[in-house]
Amino acid sequence: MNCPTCERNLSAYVDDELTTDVRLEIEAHLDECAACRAEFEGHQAAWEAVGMAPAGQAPEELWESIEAELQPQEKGGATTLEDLALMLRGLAGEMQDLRQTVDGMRREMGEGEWDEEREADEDIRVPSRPFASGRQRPGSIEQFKRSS
Amino acid sequence: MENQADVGLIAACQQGDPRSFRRVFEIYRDRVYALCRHMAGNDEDAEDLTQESFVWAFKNIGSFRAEAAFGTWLYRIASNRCLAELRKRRPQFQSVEMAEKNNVVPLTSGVNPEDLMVRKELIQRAETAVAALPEQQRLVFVLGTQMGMRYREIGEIVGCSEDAIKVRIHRARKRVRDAMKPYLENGK
Repeated sequence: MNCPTCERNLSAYVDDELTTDVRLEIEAHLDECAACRAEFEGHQAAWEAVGMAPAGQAPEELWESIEAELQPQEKGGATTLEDLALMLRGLAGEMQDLRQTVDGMRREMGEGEWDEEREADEDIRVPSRPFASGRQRPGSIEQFKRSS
Repeated sequence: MENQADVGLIAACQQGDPRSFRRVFEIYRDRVYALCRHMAGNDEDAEDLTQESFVWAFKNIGSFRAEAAFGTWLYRIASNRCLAELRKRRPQFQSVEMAEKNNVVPLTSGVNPEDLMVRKELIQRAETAVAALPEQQRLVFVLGTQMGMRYREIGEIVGCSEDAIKVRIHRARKRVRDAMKPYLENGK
């Protein structure tokens, strides 16, 4: 191994990122080349000095700040999974309400049909046809009348 | 670095479990903070960057696809935040302040005051040299030298090949070494 190749690989050597073959070549070169050995020692010294600077630890109260930033989003927007869960729950509730309303309307229609039959002699049509557009829809009064 | 517990935990986070968010924070907070602190050079910015990184990650955890380890994804978020912060404050350096605040570290135990002064100055020089690095070099230097990550993982975080990381780290280390050379030689 020559000096430029050795120099180029010194950082990776310090970081233990070389293959065994290259590592052994570097070590053999360092044994016999004083200039590269000095270069290597310079790398090591700088590396150790930098490594001495500790990064400290995240403060304990950091979570509270993070949680606080997440909270308003949960209530106001639709950007978190919590938001989506809440929205789905809300939608499910609304769907249930809607279904109850529709059921109620159907019941009223059923009652209306009964009224219609009961009061047919009086030629009173109760209730008015909710889907009156010329077409019969599933669940329409006309269909209901035919099936009953 | 990733384990099965992480996988289950991240899945729970993606389901919106608040306790899992807290657990993830506890696992990664010191590493993310270390990255931010080394990059920012002071406590205040490090705290802000750590907070921003976690908040962004939690809000967007649904987009994590497990193609990389969760830690890699999180460090990538923190790295981008740090680089953005450095670009904002360019060319201001604050790392000396970081070294000044480090008296609390256990380096002091069993060290006489003179050695302590030498060591403190050495740390200051090193931090100043790191702070003077170009942003991208600084990032790979911090990830590799100060956080001890492998080149492969650094490559995944910054989106480069291992060879490119090897070159960048080498250049960064040479700059730091050159910047400290007079002091290291005098200190011998």
